[in-house]
Amino acid sequence: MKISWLPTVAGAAVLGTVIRAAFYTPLEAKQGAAQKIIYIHAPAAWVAFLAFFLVAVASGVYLWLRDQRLDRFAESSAEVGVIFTTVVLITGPLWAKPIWGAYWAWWDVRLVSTVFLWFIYVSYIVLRGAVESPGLRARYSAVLGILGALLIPFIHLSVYLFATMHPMPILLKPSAPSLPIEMLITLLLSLASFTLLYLAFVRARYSYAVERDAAANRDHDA
Amino acid sequence: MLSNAMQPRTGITMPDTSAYYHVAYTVALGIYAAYALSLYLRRKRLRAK
Repeated sequence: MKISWLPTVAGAAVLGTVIRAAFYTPLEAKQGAAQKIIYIHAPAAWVAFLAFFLVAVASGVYLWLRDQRLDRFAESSAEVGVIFTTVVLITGPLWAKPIWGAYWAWWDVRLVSTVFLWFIYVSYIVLRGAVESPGLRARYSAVLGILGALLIPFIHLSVYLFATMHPMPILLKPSAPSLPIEMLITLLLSLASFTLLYLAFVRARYSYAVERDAAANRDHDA
Repeated sequence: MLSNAMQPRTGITMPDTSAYYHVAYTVALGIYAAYALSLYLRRKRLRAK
């Protein structure tokens, strides 16, 4: 049996990160163990933003070059992005309940706009399943993929623009990171390992799309 | 696990929020594992056709 190096490395990196977060990273005094949710929540949010940003880039270039590989990549990255956004939307409330006293705040722009982002890319996947013509499917979904990604800077900046309970950025901000060094190392490792997991998922999903399209072409020719 | 824990200052009790932490990690890793399995099964089904 052939072992692919990327999923193996990504899986080992994620496992190592979880072990480091659980056993070798200090507990935060005021929040207790719930603070460690950041090591899976923040990387999932980072990867979701990266995935949807790359969907927009690939879609934009697709509309220009009409290269099917870009459409396949956008399709793969969107699906993986939805998985990571789902993790964001589940782990966030699980942190919020013991810290805020509530799982969710409907008035909070950061939270609600993240749900909108999830819906947009779920719609993207549904749209792809609903349009039969490959050319039209790729064109329509490319437009939706680009428009959806416009929410990303809005979501990131929403904590500065609106009243919110969501914590401010820890890393992506003008000043230095606001975490003790042991926690910062764990957070950086988790960002790297979940980015590797994203790459492994996208590569596997892309390979599936290639095989599926080849099978569809064979069926069409037969 | 608690040997290297940051000790709370005197008078502050560290809250026990470990249940939320365990559920969050279990659910998140479960979702990633389920997605990996779905990719494997979809590919297997496609090749079996």
